[in-house]
Amino acid sequence: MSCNWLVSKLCRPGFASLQLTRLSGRRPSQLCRSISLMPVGSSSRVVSVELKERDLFINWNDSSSVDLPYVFLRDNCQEPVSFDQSAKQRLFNPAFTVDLSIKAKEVDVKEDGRQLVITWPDGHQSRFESAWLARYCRGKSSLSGRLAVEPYYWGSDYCDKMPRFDFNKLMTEEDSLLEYLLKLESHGLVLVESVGTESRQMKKLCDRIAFPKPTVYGFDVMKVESKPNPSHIAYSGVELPLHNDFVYYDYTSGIQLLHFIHQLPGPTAGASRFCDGINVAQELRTRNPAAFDMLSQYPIQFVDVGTDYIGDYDTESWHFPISVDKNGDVTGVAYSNHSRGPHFPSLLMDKLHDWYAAYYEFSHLMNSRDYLIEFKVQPGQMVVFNNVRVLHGRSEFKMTGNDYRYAELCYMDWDEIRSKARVLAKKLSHIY
Amino acid sequence: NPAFTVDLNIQAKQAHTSEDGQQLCLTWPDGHRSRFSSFWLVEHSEGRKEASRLPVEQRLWKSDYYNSMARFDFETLMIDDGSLLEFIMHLDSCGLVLVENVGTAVKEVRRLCERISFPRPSVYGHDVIKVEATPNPSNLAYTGLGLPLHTDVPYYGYVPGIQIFHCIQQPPGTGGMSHFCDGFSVASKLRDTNPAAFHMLSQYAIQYVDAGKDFLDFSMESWHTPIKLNRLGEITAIYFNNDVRGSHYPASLNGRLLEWYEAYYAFSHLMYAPEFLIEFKLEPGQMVAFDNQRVLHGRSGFVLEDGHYRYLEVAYLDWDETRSKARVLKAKINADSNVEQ
Repeated sequence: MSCNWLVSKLCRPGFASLQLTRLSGRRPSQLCRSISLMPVGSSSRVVSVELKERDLFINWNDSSSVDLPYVFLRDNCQEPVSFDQSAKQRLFNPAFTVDLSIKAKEVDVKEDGRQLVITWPDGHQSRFESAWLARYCRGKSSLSGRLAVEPYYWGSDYCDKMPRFDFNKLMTEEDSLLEYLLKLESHGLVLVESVGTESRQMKKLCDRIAFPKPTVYGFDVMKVESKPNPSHIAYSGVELPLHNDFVYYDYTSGIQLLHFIHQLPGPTAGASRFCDGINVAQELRTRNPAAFDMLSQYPIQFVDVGTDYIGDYDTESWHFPISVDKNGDVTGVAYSNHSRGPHFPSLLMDKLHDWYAAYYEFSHLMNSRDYLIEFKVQPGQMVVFNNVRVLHGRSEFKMTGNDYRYAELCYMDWDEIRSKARVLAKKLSHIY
Repeated sequence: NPAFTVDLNIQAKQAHTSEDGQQLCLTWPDGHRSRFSSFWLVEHSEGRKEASRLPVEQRLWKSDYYNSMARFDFETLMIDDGSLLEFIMHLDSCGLVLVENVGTAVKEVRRLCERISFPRPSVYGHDVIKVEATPNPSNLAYTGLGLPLHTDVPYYGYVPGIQIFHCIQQPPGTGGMSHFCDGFSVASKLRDTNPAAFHMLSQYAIQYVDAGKDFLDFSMESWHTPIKLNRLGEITAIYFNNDVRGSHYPASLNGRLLEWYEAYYAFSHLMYAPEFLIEFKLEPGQMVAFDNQRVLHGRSGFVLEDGHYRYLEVAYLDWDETRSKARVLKAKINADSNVEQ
């Protein structure tokens, strides 16, 4: 497997030293830090090697050096007999064919340091481009499949800064589509305009990327309109507090699309509300580390029971209200007061008052003036957002006369969004 | 929203128990009253195990499981709710079940998925995935090669939870045998016999990647610890696939790569031990359903002679919908038989 676009991004002479713009005073992303540690470039050349007992010692032309275990090199041999060129998959199981104490018999530096040829005891030869070695010889700090874009955290002044896209361009121009996918990753909330008011337009955009995510609520596009007997409070006119959808799913839907077709008159009735949950969580960590710990160390229960398109459903999941990865970065939030289940983890039972205090503080913060945005999505517009980062809600409304509020809704998952972005970036040789 | 309406320091003004002790009534300062049944109070006063699994005992198994493996009749599954509930409970408890008398019509896996909820789409197909040898394969599964024990598509963040194979055509002879092992069972043994290896595989996330063209053009990447533990140290998933293991490793393993490979080899070898590996030939008309985040599967290689074919159909489900279905069935069956809850 080789992602040429990423190699070409890294191919600048010497070490990549990125000036990290600190947006909203937040910590720079881990990925940018890791790039600065790697020797980069098509100019990477091997000056010399030394065959040690268990490692190959490589001296680079920039004076850095590295020890690479032979086991690793044999495991990652890129020759067709070891690595299927069509399926892009490893063809053998090293645990059954490679001795842990394997040592290279001979290593030749070729092509002025741009290639290494390793001859193994059984006669097999592996060729490695120095660019490949430079890329893989030190581990990565950023351990996720997220797209390598700097996150942009936002607050109450986001409306003017929200990226906007034209639906027709998204449907016909691949660089527009790639930009859309990258902004979804970095910003978490974007607006798509000129969608029109035809039903099921969002499905076209989802199919262009991959497919809508089917769930117990619907196979693809769902309707949000007032109903006489609501099976879910989203269908009535009450205020919907800020929340994430699908917190009662282990596989919480990653992206939500909301396309407005009919909207109520007036400046505020049925307006949409959002906040950047990760930004709020980071602020909470600064203000009240104990509350942050409460919400990031104990998962809580979410449930939803009802009937919809596939019949009855009874879903349950447990999530940390604030998710933190091994590097200490906040990676997501799970918040939905109306889906929060009645059960708590056993270990939390004697700390419930502290838990509620933390929960209340988080709730107040996300609704505060610094973080909450509110605007009316007009007919023909579509909001698209990261459902594990951005919380959404709605102001209350009363319907009279011929008023009608109708939107369509569907979901996608991040695996498919990120996959499409990578495919497009490679196709367009896009460096971002 | 209590965060906006309930004072953290709220105190009940009055508490009143019914005569039979079955109900508690609390009166709040604003006059509002809440009634709680004693059943509810007991249910909720101790906290819960924090998992969405069904309330069934997890049963780890070894190579003698084949003889006692749960078997279900396909048509009964399709029409009888009790059978379907038992099927899902077994899948949650043991992770591997057999379905018989499926016949050899195509798309039967889809029928079973739709009986539960719907097939989970992936880059390999919207519903049914055809497994047969093809030229220019997008995946090694579409060749005649043997496949080492693995879990499917760990390069997904949201790895498909359940996989169902339907054997439609199978060549005679000893090629194309199916292999399975209980990853939880193997990992538990590793924890006991080689804690250093267990630590390596449960603390360091590794890269899984795959790129190609199938149902969709795709370029997937995800990082998982091969053995996933929850907060309490319990094994909750296995993500293991040598073919799509990426060449990037975590920076925290710099200088310790050889140690990592030792752990990886130890785990790989243990899976194939006679203690854990089961091997059998799937017959046309049989389906096997398994937990793709627990049970590893593989196959022995095969060579197709003229006139012989090997054709399987595969579909995925996710646990969210599958467990939801089980809960709904349980409630329905309980209600139907008038059992007091």
